[in-house]
Amino acid sequence: MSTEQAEVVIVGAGLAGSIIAYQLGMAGIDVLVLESGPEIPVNRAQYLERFYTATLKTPESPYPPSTTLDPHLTGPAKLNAPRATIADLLNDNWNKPAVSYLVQKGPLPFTSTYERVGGGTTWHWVGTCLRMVPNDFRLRSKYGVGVDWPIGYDDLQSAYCRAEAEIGVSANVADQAYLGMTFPEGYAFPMHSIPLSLVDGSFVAAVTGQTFDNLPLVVSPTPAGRNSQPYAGRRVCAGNTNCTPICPIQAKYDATVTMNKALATGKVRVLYRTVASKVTVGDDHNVSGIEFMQYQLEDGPKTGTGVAVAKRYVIAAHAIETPKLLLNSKTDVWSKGVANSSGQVGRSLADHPIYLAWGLMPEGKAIFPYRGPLSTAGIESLRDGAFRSDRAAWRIEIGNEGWNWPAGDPYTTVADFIDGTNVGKTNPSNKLLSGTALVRKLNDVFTRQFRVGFLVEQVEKDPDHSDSYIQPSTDNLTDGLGIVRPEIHYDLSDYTRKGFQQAKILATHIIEDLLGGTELTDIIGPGCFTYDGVPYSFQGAGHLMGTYRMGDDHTKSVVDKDQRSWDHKNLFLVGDGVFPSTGTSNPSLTIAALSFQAGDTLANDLRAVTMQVQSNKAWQGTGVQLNALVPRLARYVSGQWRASLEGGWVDGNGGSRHITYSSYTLPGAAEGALIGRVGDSGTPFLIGDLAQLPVDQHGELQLCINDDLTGQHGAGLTDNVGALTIRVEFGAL
Amino acid sequence: MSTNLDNFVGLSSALIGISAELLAPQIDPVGLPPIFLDYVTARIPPDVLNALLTQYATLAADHVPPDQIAEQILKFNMQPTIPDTVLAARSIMKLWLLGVWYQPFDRLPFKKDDSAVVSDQAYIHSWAWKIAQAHPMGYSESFFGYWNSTPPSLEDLTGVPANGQQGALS
Repeated sequence: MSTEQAEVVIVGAGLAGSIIAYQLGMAGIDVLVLESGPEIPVNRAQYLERFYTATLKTPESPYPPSTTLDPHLTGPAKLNAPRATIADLLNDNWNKPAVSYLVQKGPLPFTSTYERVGGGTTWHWVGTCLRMVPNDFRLRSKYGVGVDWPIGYDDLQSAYCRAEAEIGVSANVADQAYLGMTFPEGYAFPMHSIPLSLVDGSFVAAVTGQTFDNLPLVVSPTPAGRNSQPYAGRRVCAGNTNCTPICPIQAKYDATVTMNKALATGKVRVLYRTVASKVTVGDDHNVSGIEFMQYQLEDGPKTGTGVAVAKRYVIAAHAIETPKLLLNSKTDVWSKGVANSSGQVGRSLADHPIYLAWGLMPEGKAIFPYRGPLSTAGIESLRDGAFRSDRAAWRIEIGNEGWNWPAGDPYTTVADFIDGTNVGKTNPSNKLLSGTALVRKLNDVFTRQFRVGFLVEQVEKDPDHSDSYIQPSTDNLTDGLGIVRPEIHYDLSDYTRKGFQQAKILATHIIEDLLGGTELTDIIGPGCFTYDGVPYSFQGAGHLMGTYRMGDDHTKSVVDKDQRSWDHKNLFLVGDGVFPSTGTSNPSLTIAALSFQAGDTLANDLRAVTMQVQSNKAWQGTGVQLNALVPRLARYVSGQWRASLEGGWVDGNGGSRHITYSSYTLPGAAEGALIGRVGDSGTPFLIGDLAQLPVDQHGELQLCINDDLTGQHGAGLTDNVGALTIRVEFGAL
Repeated sequence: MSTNLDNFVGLSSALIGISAELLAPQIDPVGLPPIFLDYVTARIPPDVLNALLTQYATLAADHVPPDQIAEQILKFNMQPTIPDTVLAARSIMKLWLLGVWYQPFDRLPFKKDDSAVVSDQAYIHSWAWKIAQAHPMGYSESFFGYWNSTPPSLEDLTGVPANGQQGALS
């Protein structure tokens, strides 16, 4: 068994793990990342080739390992790092563990999937970068349902901005300031908004001025993690209509961008094909190591074992693999598993179950789908309202990919008119067409197709006793390395189902009344349920949330607001598993924002500089080098000092005297205030008790009391007494 | 005298309504027709393929219009069992339109309903996307923002005028 050492060990090289690795690397901290899947490829040609030649172009189709569609694969029990796939859900196999990696116990199927490769599931995200709306964070206190977050929208403001910069979000503030969302004064997204599609345009024309539940229907451009201008060395979106499964040109952000920057710091290394198998805990209740197993071939033998030892540990392995690891780590002492004194690890598994509706525009009204990014707009105006005390909210994503999702087009409709079938329901008279008549008919159908997806908020009836959860397989089913697989129990509450009921009503109203089209929405499994006597089907959004939620109460949550385990102070759990409630926004931007905050906390644990600043000395070096890439704060911790008898004892904010003599450190600022500058010739700036340090200057941070430095108007610094304790931290206000 | 390849392209053209010049352009860096013919030859019996090619060649020699050639080849008079030639012709149509070969009947080692994308180029150059006035998902040759404008017309893209032509004029 090998031993690997670092200051921080991170499990998972996806979005959260990559952001934290990069931040820590920039802070000079040694990081080791354990990634269960293969390395980030030098280029995406091989993944693209897998996609182009895949008969079934599922989200996972470009990526290893093999799925159940590959004839040589005998099942997930043989794979070393299997994952949930769409292929597992086909042909009613979702609850057959010989086929499905997830051991699904129902009553409903869990239909979301994820990847286990370097870069994680951002390889096949759509790129939607919506912020959560303020009321998403206070669902319980505002509407009496679900769970409140321990933080609010304002607590995430600066982290959202950092996430938008890292991902490279294209949007206009004016389009996004709705339902209480605010932005810093003068804020602009990194890039301008993505243009709407012709499909979007038809929705704008149809719904503008209309209402539902007394709320306006407004089509908004979707903030997107794809380039509308050259950004971060990557190309502009060329509208490949393929964000999922794979953007061919990386115009859409994925976490490999950040992981490659992390590797470039020289402080981060990644062990690929290295599966974390057990978290060990010492007598002091701190995590003492993470055991791992290694392999080379996807279904080959185990090639090594080891333990990774560090000062801090981060598990960034998503809402299924993270709790699987924690629960598989139980011992006699930690009988419920690691980090699970609350009993909430694995509980409250959530998604944004999608109500998918589709139709055809009226005859002769082509809207030209299958062009542009997969989605460029949505109806966001119904994400919040008084109705949330009664039923689930949703956002509506407008698709640009015709019926590729609901009907598998263009394949289905082509086959229908060649074979005389009516699977896609556009050939009710079972016509057999060929030649130019076939071309004309296909053109007529394809150019009028559209679909909308309602991303429904999932709220438990009793959030402390969830009906949806993951636990280690009670049948002891394992993967190729012998690791016990995740067993999923999944159901949707009446509150969530009622959201579907209202979604269906609005979908039909929009399609038939407002667009004047023909609705062809149908039940497509395997996710089906009945509510109030009406059947519905739901699709997975790939938004795996919950299972190790954050909170204020250690008896009901797994991590605190800093994403630190209540039980093990050197363990952090990150990613959307920490979400106490799902809201309706696609989660990646919030994952990224929270990861920046967790990264700050970790960096501060290990590298924050605490020092005393003397009142009787001029500029004092901190040893902290500032640059544009690592946001830093200076924070007053304790102590008092005195610049003059008249000014008296003060803290970093200084006293009431404001003196403008040019010999003062910062003329006009409060006497006795804490002042900073960058380098020997930097322009002084006020710190006070807390300040964001400049990002536009490079050099050492120096600190000083605001006083008459040269004694031109009295005793200068010589009569000063006292000192302040100051902490120079990582973070942003 | 026409070769098998010429007849295969002509047959394909009649079946899917796209001209032979577009399916097999004079300067053709991709070269799908021989690849497709080889692929099909390996998967359907020679008598079926020969029957199809001969039937096409005969009708073409008689100057039967392409759409009528297609109708005759695909005609089966609602017999209870669809002839293998018709099933094979349908698979050839899907091959060109989708880049996917759907095995029409058992022919060992190939089983009925087996399906496979013939190659990345077969997918990228499949015609359903142009018929949709779009591009293959994952292969756009257009530029940022094109989705905000009307595409080139169906006729520009396929040579076939649409019912009530829509799309930008070339």
